[in-house]
Amino acid sequence: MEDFVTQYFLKTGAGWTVIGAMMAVMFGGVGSARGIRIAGGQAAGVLSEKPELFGKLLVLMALPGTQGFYGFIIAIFMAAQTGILGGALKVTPLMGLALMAVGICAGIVQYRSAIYQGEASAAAISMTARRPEESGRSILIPALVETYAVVALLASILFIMWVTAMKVA
Amino acid sequence: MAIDPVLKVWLISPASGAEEVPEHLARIGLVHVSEVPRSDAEHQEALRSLSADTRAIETRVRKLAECLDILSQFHRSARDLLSNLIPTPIETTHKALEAALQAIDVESLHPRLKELAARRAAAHAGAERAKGRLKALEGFDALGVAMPAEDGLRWSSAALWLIPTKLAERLGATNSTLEGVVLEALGNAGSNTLVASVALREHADQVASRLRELGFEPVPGPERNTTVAAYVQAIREEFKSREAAAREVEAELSGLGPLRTQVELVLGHEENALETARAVSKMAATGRAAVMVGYVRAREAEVLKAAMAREMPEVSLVLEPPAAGDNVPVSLTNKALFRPAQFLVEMFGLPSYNAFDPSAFLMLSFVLFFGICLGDAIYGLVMLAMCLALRARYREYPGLRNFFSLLCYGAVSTFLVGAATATAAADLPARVFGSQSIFANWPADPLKKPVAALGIALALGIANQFWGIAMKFRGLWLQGDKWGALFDAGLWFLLLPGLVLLMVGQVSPELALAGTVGGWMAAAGAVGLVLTQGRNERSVVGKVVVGVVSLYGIVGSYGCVSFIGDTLSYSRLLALGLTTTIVGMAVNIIAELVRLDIAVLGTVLFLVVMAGGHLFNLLISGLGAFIHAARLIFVEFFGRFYEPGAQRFAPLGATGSRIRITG
Repeated sequence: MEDFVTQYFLKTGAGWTVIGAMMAVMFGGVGSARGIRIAGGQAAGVLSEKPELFGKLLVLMALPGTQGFYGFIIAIFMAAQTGILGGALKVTPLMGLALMAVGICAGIVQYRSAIYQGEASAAAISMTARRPEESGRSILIPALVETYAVVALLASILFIMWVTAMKVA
Repeated sequence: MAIDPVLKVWLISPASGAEEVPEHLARIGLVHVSEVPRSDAEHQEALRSLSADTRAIETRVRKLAECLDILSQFHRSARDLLSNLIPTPIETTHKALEAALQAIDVESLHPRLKELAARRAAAHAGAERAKGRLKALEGFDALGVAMPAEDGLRWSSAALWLIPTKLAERLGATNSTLEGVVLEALGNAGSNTLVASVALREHADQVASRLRELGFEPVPGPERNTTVAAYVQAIREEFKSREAAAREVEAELSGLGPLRTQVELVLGHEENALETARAVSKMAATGRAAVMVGYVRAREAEVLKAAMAREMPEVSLVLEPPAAGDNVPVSLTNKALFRPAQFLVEMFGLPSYNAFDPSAFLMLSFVLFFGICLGDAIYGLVMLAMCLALRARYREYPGLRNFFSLLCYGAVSTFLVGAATATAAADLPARVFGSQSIFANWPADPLKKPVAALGIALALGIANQFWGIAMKFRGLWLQGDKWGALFDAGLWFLLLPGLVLLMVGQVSPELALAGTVGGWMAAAGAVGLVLTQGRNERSVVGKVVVGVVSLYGIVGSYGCVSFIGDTLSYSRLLALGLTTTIVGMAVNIIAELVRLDIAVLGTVLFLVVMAGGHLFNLLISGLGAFIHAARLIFVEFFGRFYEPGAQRFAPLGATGSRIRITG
């Protein structure tokens, strides 16, 4: 155990990086699941009355699922840039801590935005139920919420690149 | 490949007998009926609305819908599932419809089905109640002690309770806390004790409430004094008889199941009749003449004229192009190659009549994205075989045929992407040919080079964004707004490629020239956008502010922030592709472990796990691929240029959403 801690948390930052990567995956995944549950619950109510709208509601239900993928992308990017995935480890403990912070912060944004997007999707589903011909426009409402998940993803990618490019004495 | 040109139809008939015009039109089946416009006060005064009494048909439709709902529970088909995704009318003939109309007497069928449904519900509810009691009394069925009935005593009220045995023991020690009630433990089972309580009748509610607070769970008691064992036996018999009653009713309902198709045909017929009757209320009349307005496809105008001369010679027909501002219904006709993509456009919403049909322009992107998300050669082949079979099975339903055709294209794309990345049922090539083979060290393996794969996904995103802007340019240009095309789309073609070149120049010093050119392009585009995007504002300040805001991208789907966000959204292509492969690899590992660990049955189990696991992965990942490829089209691509919302061209007649008469 001591060797493990020394190897992955004191000599290298691989352990911190893995924690940060999995935090991004966890927050993104849980947020997406909750967002889809909110949208799915609303859709189930509509479909019980209007089953013919299934095709139109399918994408609206799936919209909050994106943040889970963004968390996954952040994790993959961290693993690839630090050499955890298929290469020599090149991450110091300080870098690892910085990457862990990136993963947690990005994950929290993914988590909350997925839930908010689920709520916006639920509203859009109600709109589609009342006016099915407006289903196209209604997709754009929850899509706007995703902007901030994308901003967090972009910031994460930039910071991962910046942190892993640092020259540490 | 386009939106069908339509003509506006004016039908002027004598006021007497005007109510029959919709019936004739329904037989012809070519005219989409609209409200008669009343644009000014003069029209409002001169024209009166016609009305039709539709209550009788509405009642029949409601009763038939209820009958269909009951029968559908006992006679389901694969079409039920698919028709929720894609409108799938039943193909029928006049002869079959006539037979159904003769066979189904809704006035006798409806009460019979309602009565059977009510009996079934009552039987199930009784069985559920008995099941609940049996569960509560589980373990007490051999208890021979007496059990009082709730109303079995004259001045007192008895009740049964289930409590944890520990609580029963504790209460036994402090019995003084329960004044006014006599408790008797009837027996123990597991960690629970069955307790009988007796209290004065006037205190019964108060005592019951107190016992509940203490953690007593009420158990419904017998109606007469008996023993616990006899009571449990009686409940068992009741449960069996209720179940038998439910089965009997269900058998009777199942026997009526074959009527379902006929009920659906009659329902479709009645819905069409209702629509036809309601069309009367869209007409307007003066004292002597009545007028009806509708639309006909231009290519069917001559057929309509001939049919009108035959069916309604007394009705005058005037055809003219739709006026600006008319809410024109839209029908799409595409070449066979692009027809499957029409399914996506109809799913999202139809374009307005003056816009253009994007079906052909989204086809390649959708199919490519689907292939990248699923990307596996074996999955592609299996899916192609399945979709070809389903396409043949449902070839008579245009909606389903288009859907499965689209999936066939997606399957081919899946195969090609899988072949390009050496992915065939995940990592089978590498496993079969060994870790030193070319397949184990494939140069285009996204699992080994995820960052490069992410770059490709984002590059596809950029390309699709440009394609969307090109569509906007095309749409505005075709509508005659050439300055709008140049300012609102053309300038972005200067700015965005300029930014891309600028980034390339920054990353690769040897391409510094491209960076310089890109910088100038981006600057020119940005200045142009700031100067033109606020051109509809009156004040100079307003023009500049709107220009800057538009460049940044707070409002609408255009702007630097929107483009960056939409492009990053394409990273899901990588995530989904990797997910499909990784789940497939997990299936391979599990199958291999089963084969090695179990000597005799190993090979059989290996094959079962491989087939079941990969089929599951294909279905789940295929669903994800479809949804997310569609989302990239609907949100990121359509957001650039497309506005849905037109009403569907739906001719009045026996061609509704439920049935289609073919002969």
